[in-house]
Amino acid sequence: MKLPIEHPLSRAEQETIAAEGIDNWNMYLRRFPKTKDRDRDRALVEWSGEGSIIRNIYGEEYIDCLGGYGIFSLGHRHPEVVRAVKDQLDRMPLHSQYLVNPITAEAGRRLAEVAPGSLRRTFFCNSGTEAVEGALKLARLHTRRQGFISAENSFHGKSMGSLSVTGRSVFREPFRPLLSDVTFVPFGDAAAIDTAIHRDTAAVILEPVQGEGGVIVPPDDYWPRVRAICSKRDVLLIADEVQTGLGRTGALFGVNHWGVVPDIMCLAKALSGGVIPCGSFTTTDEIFAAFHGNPMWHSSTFGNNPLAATAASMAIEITVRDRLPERAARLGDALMRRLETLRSKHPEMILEVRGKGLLIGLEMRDEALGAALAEKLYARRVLVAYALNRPRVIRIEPPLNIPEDLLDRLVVALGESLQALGA
Amino acid sequence: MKNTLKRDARAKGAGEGGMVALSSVRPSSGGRGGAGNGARKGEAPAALSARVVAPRAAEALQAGTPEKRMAVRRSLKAAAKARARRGTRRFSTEKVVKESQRWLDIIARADRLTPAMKKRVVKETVKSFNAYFNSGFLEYRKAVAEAEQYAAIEWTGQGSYIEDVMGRQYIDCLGGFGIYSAGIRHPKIVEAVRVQLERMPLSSQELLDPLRGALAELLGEIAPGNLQKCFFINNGTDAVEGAMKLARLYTEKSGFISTIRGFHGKSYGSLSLMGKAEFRVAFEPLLQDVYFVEFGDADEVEWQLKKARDVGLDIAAVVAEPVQGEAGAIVPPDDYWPRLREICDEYDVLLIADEVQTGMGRTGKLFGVEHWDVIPDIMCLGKALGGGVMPLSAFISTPEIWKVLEKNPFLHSSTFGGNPLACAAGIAAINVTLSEDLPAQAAESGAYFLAGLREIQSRYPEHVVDVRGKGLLIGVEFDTTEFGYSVASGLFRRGVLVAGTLLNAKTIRIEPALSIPTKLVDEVLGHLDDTLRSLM
Repeated sequence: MKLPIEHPLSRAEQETIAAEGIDNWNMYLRRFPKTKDRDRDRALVEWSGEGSIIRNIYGEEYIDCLGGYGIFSLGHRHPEVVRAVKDQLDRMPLHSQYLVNPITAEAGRRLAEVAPGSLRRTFFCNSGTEAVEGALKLARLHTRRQGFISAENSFHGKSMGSLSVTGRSVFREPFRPLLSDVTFVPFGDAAAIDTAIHRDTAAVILEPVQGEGGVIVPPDDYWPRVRAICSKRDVLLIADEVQTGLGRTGALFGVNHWGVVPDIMCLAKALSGGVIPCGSFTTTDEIFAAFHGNPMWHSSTFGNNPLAATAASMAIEITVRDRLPERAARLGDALMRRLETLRSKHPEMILEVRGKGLLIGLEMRDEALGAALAEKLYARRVLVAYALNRPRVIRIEPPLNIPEDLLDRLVVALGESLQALGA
Repeated sequence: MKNTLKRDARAKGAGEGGMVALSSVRPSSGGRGGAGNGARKGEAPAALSARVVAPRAAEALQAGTPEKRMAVRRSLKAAAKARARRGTRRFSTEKVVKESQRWLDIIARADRLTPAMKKRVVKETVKSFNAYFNSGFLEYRKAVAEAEQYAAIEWTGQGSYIEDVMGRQYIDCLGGFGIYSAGIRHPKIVEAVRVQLERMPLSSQELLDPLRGALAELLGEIAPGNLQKCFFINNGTDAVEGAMKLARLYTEKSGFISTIRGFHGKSYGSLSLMGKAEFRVAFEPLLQDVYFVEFGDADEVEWQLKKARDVGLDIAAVVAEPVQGEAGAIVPPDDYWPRLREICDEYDVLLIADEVQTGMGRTGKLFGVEHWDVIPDIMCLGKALGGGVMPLSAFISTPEIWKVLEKNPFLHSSTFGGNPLACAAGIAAINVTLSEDLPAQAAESGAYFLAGLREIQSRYPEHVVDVRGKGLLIGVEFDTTEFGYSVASGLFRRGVLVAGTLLNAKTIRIEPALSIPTKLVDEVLGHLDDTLRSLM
């Protein structure tokens, strides 16, 4: 493949790229596990995206209701993000790591201005798992204690630290031993946290709404109670907002639903603006001061790159300016009502509809049915995903600015698919 | 007292959050907020002067006259008060939009800034770094804070040059700690990324992204021996994390052997392999089962493995850098890597080569292990793999080992890893590295550079203790940290960036673009000679 590819592709080129794409995946990456049907595989080769639409190599359009597991809150290639990134690309994509890089400082400032409470100091990295790694390190450094409390069924990432606090055995088991002193408690049960805290507990880490766990929304008093317990017991509270942050659940940050200010907040996914990978953790001046002893205690080569910072700055700006959290709340409520209607028509297939904002889960009767539904939706050119920790939950996470008529098409496609499966 | 403060801040924040639950933006908090904004304006310069002009570090308080020390303490106090007052205040939506629009205008007019605007960029950057970022960095990079009238705010770059916002040029001999092997903003790499940006920057993660396949093929075909299957992520530490997980999964053993002063990253897995106490102690306990040996001593690895076998410790892999980078360009004896390979085979453990810094031509071969014709079982790449334009890293292994990951592809996965934008950069980086034969250029320029440095060393033998390296991964060791620091800051004043910093300046590292012209090498050598002469 010769890059850049600037011209429209001929049919022959499309075929070549599709065929090579599949062969290369199978030979040099992971064998693509799904189908053996070559023609079908070829249709799976993605090529471009815009807004809530993805096109495959043949130009066929799909409605993206998966949103890259939450990264495409602004849709694909939001023109303002792309423009700012392109501009930065022409000047300084990565940084010298020696001189002062003004672009990333600006992103830090913007984040501080919208972050809950007195969260103000940010460390930028490239992904959610790194954000969690950093948060865990900071919690130990600040408290001089070692233990963590996490929730069962949680998902925080797959590097050794974040994996240690991920509450799902299938991801942990093959890689043990992980970090010691991690206690898991049921999600949604604040009293269990109070019981689990011990002399050496550094922090409690939770998702506002469990995403990979199958879109689990906790009781409304959960976060305020956890906050009170952590303050009382002098333990840090880490909010993993990697998936919920920047408007996804109908508030700018998930914890805002309950007026809770965590001690450390992790972001990633949508912080990328859907364009450049970006992650971060943000905390108070006081807690961050623990890092000041030696700024090299925690550092990252690519972490502060200005290209990602530009994307993050734009993501924050557009999300706030266009009131996307409110839009997510409104569209999410309406969509959940319609999904509920579908459920009442097919109660034997859909067990539950739940969610917050545009982070929505459909709990299917079993995994096979979930997979069949995703397959039927795919045939109707709608992309959805299942939850990593709970594969029978179909996740719906479209861009927050998705046009309403595309959501109508999703509902129609769902109705047809369920009908077909029921027949 | 510390804890009371913390609780207060939380209580305040929680109360405020409660008022705006469900709303996306924090409104300015009425009249008080307005008054506060005014106060903030007044306070900002005090904070600035306290934290930048006079470094806050202990050294700053120790040095200077008693009056000066008092002044520093006073302004620190004022700054702390200002921060406390600002604690819970937030900008209104209008203000955020206005402020950000102003920055967008600055970005859009980047090459046409007026002198006044440039000064403002400098001032605001320093302020934002201090207020929202790790203010330790400005002190850490003391050379920057000390620079004449304005701090050096990076703005653009090309090839071996970086230019700051005031238009001052620097020769980049630091290379972003190894990311700029192809130089800064190599046009071919930038172009590939630019065009991809127009089409699909990140992947849907459901359909198949062809660029990931294409890059995997290229890497699979240029990697040593039968290394063929790869996984892409965003940075070196993630590559090492993945390699460790793969090693455990494949061997069903948990232990690792790493090297003293080895550097593999700062997340919990890679940090567990870190061979330097300073970076570990505050974050312990890390992963168990990691044993450390002297770098360059294969006998010790063998002894450690024998011991482990005798007492029944499970070792999954031996991890090492071909040339230790962060430790100061330590080149091992020529038989080290071949022996590591033999020993690992004999004891049936995996050999992981951390080529994050040495890969992609840095040491004069495409990969560091190629100097000794060794094929590791897993190889980690990062830094230069993204062509100096995008963050990109990878770990690569044999089809045989890879099988364990294929059973359940979600055992290890990444949201952003292998995104099309990074892959476009990676494809272009490989293209540039091979078509311009960057490894050969690194070998040639490296030999020339080293010869020049050794010549200088012979003239200042009491201060320049060692000159070493391979290709363009070069370390110059001085007799003391203080002296090394003076050299780094002298070079900075002469417009040359090297990796020598407040905390680790005993050895300065030189890692320029692999295509650095001989003329610039001569210029750097001249500046070094000049700096050393001025320090005598």
